[in-house]
Amino acid sequence: MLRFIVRRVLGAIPILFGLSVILFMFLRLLPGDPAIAILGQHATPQLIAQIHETLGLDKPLYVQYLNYLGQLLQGNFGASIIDSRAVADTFAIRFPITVELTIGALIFAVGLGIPLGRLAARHPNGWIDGLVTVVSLFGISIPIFVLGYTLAFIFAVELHLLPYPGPIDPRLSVDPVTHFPIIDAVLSGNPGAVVDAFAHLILPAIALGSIPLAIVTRITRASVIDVSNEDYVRTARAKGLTRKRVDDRHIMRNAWLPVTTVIGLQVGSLLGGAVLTETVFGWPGVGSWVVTSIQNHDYIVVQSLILIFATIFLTVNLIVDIGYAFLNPRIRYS
Amino acid sequence: MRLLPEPAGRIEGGRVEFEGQDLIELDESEMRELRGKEIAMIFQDPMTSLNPVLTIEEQMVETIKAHKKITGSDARARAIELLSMVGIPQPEQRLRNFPHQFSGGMRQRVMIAMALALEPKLLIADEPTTALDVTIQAQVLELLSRLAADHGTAVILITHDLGVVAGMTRRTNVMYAGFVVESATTAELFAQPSHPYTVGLLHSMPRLDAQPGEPLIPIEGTPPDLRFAPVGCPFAPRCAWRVESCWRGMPPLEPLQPTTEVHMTGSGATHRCACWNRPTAEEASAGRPLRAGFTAAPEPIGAGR
Repeated sequence: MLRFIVRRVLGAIPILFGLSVILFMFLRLLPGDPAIAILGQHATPQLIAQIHETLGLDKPLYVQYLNYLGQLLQGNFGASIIDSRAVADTFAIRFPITVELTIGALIFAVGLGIPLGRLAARHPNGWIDGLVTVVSLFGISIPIFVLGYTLAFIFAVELHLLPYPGPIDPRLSVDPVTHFPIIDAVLSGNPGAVVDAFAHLILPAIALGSIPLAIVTRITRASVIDVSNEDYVRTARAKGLTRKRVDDRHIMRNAWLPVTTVIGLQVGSLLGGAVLTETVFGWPGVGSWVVTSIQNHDYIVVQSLILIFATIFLTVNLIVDIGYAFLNPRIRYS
Repeated sequence: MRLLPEPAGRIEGGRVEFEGQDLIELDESEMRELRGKEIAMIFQDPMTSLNPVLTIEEQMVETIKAHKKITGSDARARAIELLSMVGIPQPEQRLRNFPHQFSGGMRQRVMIAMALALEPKLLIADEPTTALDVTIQAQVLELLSRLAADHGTAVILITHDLGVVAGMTRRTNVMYAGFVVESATTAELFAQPSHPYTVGLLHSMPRLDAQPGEPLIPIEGTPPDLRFAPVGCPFAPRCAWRVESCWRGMPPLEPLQPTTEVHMTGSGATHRCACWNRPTAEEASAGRPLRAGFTAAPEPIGAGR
């Protein structure tokens, strides 16, 4: 088991290295000069040259890359060329917000997707199954910004049921300690702030969770139907077990395997991919940070963030593989 | 056992009596209580019949607990007892194993142990040795018959292996396409096979006491597609003895000798056969019709097949 983990961790290194090269090249090839982004359109050539020198942009590409890599290996992701703050520092402030949103979306997707999938699998091709299929297709098809603004319009603007935008009402002036909005609200000792933070999470979690919800539902349905036809499920029924026990133990324990993989993949992409949701709901997480950084030609932030997302994605996948081994004894013992 | 999922699997008609109770009339929870406790079942393929993610202990203990108020440690002790009964060495350790750590024969032993856990009155063994090696087959069958005798459990053995039938059973129903076509004590069935299908089965099997060079006589054709139920005898298209009436109606299952009393069960069970044109004893041993000038009746045109 330990060898398995070590092998997988080592395998991630060349992937990250290759990615850093590609990212570096790609961002340099994008149109737009960071110096102009900093100085504005009416900058003098002298000023632009000066900025290029400060940022090291006048040196050959491979020198720029080696400098970048050297800094990276020391754990230094560089600093934003816009506000000069270290990427790592801003990340530490913004990432918890994204994590909270991701967890909210996952609770929505998994908490609803698995029961829905099981319900649909109970009577395949019945009307419940059909309804669930339609809902999940809807969830996959509808763009997040359409769903997000629609939800915000209906529940926040028209009905005044839920707050919008942001992760918490700024008037509550909760001290940022951990930068997780809900945890900070709890630490502030103000029950109203906790309720407010939870209420702020609902709409963006639904918007962000709609696609994972659809995927989890479909996979759960397919997996449960698949396992239900296995010989050992027939054995379990022949032993006189109750339907509930057959469902919960014999079917679900096996049906979990593909569902876990899918959930893991979704976590990876949610952590990096909350770009649209964060923008629509005004959450200052890493997703909206990527957007502003791209607009600002803040290439250092962009390349560092993408590298961080890739690392997170690989880590989550590794965790899923290990979790898979725990669920499936055939992998554990091989 | 009413295990097939509806609506694909359903019981069209008839009765399924167990101790005087028609199983078709039971509701699902009554049926559940019978399963495993009164009627247990062993399946064809031991490689897929055990749940791969649960230990043997979990699967055995849950069976016992489903029908008995019993503590976990008592159920576990019972499981160990059962495993040693079916000849699995080191049962305490093996209980903690998963199915993939057992060989096919060992898994079928586990299945047998699990089926006998509650000393059922009836055990249905559906081709229990088909997936096993020949040497393991013999061990498993020997175990099955010994344990069934010890526990006073009746066994319904479903098999296509006539050697197994001869060695293991006392009474045999030969079935074709869902119909019982011949029913007799096993000794009588082998002494006097009376249905063309039974005759065909016996002649398509290699025997140690055959004359050198004696050819096997296979049954031509394939079994009918049961989604399109045939008119008449379902075996007619493959039968060398068929006469014209075989194409028109399914013959009833009737005693060979006219008798007033038909015994359905026991050692004196009446030899019955469903055939319009039974092979004679000589024909049965030859494996083909011997009557001068006899040809199988051709399929009538427009018979609705």
